[in-house]
Amino acid sequence: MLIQIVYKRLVHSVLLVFAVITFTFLIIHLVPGSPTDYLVDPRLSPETIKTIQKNLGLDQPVYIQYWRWINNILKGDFGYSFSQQRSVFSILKEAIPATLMLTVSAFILELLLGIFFGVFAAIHYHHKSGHLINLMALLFFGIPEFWLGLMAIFLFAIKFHWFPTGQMTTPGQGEVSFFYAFADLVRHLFLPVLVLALSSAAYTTRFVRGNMLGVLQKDFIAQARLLGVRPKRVYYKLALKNTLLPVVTLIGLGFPFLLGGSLVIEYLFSWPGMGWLTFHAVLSRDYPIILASTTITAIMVIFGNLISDLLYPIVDPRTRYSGKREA
Amino acid sequence: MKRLIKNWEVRIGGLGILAFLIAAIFAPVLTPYQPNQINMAAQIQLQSPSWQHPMGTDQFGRDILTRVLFGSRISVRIALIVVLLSTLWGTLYGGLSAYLGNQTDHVFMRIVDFMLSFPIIFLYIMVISFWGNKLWVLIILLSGTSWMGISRLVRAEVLSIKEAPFVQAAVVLNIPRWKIFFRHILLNSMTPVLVAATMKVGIIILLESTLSFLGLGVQPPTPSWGNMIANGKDFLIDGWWMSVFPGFAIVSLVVSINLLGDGLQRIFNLHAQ
Repeated sequence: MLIQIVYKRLVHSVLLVFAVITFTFLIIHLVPGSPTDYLVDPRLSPETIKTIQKNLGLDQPVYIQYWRWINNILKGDFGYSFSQQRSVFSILKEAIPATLMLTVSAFILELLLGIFFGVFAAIHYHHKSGHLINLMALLFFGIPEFWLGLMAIFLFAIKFHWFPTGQMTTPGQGEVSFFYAFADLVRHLFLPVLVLALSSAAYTTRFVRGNMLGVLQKDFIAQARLLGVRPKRVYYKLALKNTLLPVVTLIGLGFPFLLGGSLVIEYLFSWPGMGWLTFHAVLSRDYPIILASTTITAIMVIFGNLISDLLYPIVDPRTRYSGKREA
Repeated sequence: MKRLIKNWEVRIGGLGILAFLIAAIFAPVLTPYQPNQINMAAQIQLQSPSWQHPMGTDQFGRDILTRVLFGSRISVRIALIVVLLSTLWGTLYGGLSAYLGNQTDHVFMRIVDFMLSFPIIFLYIMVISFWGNKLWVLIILLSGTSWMGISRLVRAEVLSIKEAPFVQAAVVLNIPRWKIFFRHILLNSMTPVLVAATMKVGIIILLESTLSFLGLGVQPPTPSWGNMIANGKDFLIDGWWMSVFPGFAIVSLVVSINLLGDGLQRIFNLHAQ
């Protein structure tokens, strides 16, 4: 039964990935103008431009370009970047780790903050402290990420000089010890990670709090209380377990943001990751890079959803046989 | 109505939204300056907040408060149009999906899955930078990518309502199917949609300001909060007020909207999600 569900979901996911890739390809090719308009000196003769287009495979009809591209992707070949003159693969190899470093740390911090404050606010529902956290979450939920980042740069980088204003490393240091390089990286990571985590932790806090409040109203909690189970046990053993179930979905849904969700922060902090790369690729119409990053992000999204769907029956036995969650 | 006013969240949120609406409508009367009035006199440029310019001036000597007031016009207008379009479409889509059921439902929901799995921020950048920064492109793009949540919500509502006794009664009475759908089923599933749409206004304001900040939304010289902050980004040292105050405007409006949404949710006793 479970295997059947997994199989069905897997097929769905693969089809979805294809749909997303095709859609991206179509959008790019529906655009008026050619990438060579940006790449090539317009003073070159039309023949030279034709040759360049031919070398890039842009003279072929769209469906042949599409077919070629899909074939290459299946072989793990994303082509050559127009603007950077090297293989997309080597560019991605630098950008993906940079982004993951940023987003994975932010994601972990966000979950820790969100679960801690959400549970705290739910348990202290009638206290001032619970209200305060609820209000803080509401406030942070309304702060645009880019502005929070800008204010963080203004305060902590420009006013107090505690942290650098952007980028991944301090340039022009030459050979440095491993320890120094690591400390330098952490210093550069601190502000963007904090901003990214804070602005998403607001949502997680609200989500966890809402869930926990819902669980606390359930009959089995009232029963446990009546039976004289200690409040700590009620909260952290019984209620927390049930609260964290939907958080699994949240983790799955958060997956795609590991690659695509930090675009604004990367732009703001000049962080050389996927978002920054894609943003500049679009501005310079670097098709192979755009296609590659959308494809990879789409795959992440779809498999993130898949993983959370498959995790569900494992963590929640009630859904094990129907394969469906409670709405 | 009484319950609405009694709830403090609705009261404060509502007042905040009202203040912004008044600011947007009466912007030309509220300030003696023009939003795009350039004054290159050195003593007017990059002035810190003062009585003449409560929020200071920018590098062209334009009054920031005036631009914040005028900026609310464009942000609010875009957000309202987008929410209206996406809510209408999402309601119809989700409602039909659930009402028709079976294969239609299946196909409709797969399309929603597809939309949700598309890396939307990349889509925005691609479409806007390829097709140009026109306002209608922005509105269609934002509406076209923000209806899925509403449609899932309506679908769930309609699935439960369509089995309700009063709907079955309507079927027995031979009322036309479209009439049952619009009048009896959709109308009865509107409460959660209302709350979700309220929250959506805030989300769209955040999105639009982010796009404008990236240079992909509302274009200067038209003032919008996002592009004002982008402009202030390069003057953090000499003119912090250029980016701080428009940010305050976004935060207070969005928080007001979310307060209202939270309050409505509590009054209608919906599950906090």
